[in-house]
Amino acid sequence: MLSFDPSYFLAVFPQIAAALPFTFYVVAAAAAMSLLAGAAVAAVRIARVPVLYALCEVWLSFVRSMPFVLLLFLMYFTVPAFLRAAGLDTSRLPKEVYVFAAVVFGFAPVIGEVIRPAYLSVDRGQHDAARAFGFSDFDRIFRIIVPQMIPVAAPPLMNQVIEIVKDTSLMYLIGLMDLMGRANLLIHVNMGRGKLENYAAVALLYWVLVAVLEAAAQYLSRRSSGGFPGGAS
Amino acid sequence: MAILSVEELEKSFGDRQVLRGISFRAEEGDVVSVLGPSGTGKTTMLRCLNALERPDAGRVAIGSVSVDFRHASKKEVRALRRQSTMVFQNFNLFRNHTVLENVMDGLVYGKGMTRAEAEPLAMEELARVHMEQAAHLYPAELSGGMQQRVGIARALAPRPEVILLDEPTSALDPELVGEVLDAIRKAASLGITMIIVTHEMRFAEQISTKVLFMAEGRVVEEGPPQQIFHHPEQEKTRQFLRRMLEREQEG
Ligand SMILES: Nc1ncnc2c1ncn2[C@@H]1O[C@H](COP(=O)(O)OP(=O)(O)OP(=O)(O)O)[C@@H](O)[C@H]1O
Ligand SMILES: [Mg+2]
Repeated sequence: MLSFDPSYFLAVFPQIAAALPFTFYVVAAAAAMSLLAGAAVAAVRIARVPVLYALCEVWLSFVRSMPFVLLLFLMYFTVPAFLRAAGLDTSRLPKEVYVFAAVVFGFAPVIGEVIRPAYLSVDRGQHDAARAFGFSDFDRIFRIIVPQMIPVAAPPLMNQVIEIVKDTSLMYLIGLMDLMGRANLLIHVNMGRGKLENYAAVALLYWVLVAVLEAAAQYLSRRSSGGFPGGAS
Repeated sequence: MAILSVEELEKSFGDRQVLRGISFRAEEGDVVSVLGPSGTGKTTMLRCLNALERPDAGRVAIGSVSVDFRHASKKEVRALRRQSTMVFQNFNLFRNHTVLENVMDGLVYGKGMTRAEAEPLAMEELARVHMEQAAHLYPAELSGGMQQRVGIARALAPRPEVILLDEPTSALDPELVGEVLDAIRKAASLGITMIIVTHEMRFAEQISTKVLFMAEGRVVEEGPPQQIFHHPEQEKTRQFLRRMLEREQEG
């Protein structure tokens, strides 16, 4: 029989919510690393760097067909072997490193495919004008081009971040104490009872987490693009 | 001493040679009009002068900077770019910057001025083209004529050795052409050297000190406007002018 005990729910909620900072840290760090790697992939594809361009295409098609859980296990079981072969001590490596590796591997080429069209959506004349007025390459990209990419790239990038939020909930499988990890632990110590209350708490926290991320992204993209009109055309 | 000198510029796109050895000079204060049929390489030539297109061969010297494009470093190219500014057919104002920021940008990012130094200079240029009221608007909020006036203020602000203008009025509605031509006249009256690709024959005749007629990637004829417009020596020039005059009378 399915039953919901509100007082038990209220008791476990703060205990699960205590894992929010750690969950947020893993998601934020993984997303930031994927964004950087994705920008590098986009640069390779825009510049059509020989060999690397083809590699990125194979990489993209591979990860598109991989469930995240498989990438996570691949990283968890293979990366330590490589590191040990390179003579490194992996015993003190924090486990979230495997999550970072799996997210970057799984998302960089996908995020590259978000950044590339955003870059190409900026009129070539904007590059011409920046060059003609003596901008350095850095100023051309970061003062003129990137601010105009943000209104185009922000919504699909946000969707990728939400995917990362959801996929990383599998990190409990390698023993990390995120929201799901905490909930499973609490259920375990409660002899398998109270599943509904625990998972309801996790669901509520994910809902809030994503809503907060979306609001923050909207605020940031409005601010960093200067809110110029016609920006998203 | 010429302020601009161009020697034997060559440029191909793929196996199509667009510039076949272009040479000319401009003295300080010259307004050089570049005329010629469509597809002749006028835009390409202009874009070679600030290396937006990299010529395959040839030399461009502006002010104190001389670049041989057979072996030009990135540093040389950027030094050459700092000698000129450009007014584009499609304006190409920075869409994410206000009118005032657009005019300041060349001073701040090109010449390394502080914003405090750049702002009064930029306001002065905006006033010259009667756009100071629009200083805090974005390009998307302006008509084409207003955008191009800002484009001219932006090109004037760094006081370059040369301003390059590529058909500055051809993307405009006819009723907006006049205000932009007036702004260009004002810029010319400051004594800044200008190279202007245009199809506005009457304007070219009035404003130029020198006219270059290009066809098929070559300079076919050059001389003072009086000579080119009224006593052209080359048959190609005569044909082109006849066609353009007919079109202006129709329009
Ligand atoms: N980036 C490019 N890639 C390939 N071909 C180009 C490129 N830019 C110009 N061309 C070609 O070079 C030739 C000269 O073009 P250009 O734009 O310089 O002519 P133009 O004299 O300015 O013509 P118009 O009066 O129509 O503006 C044209 O045949 C054009 O198609
Ligand atoms: Mg042209």
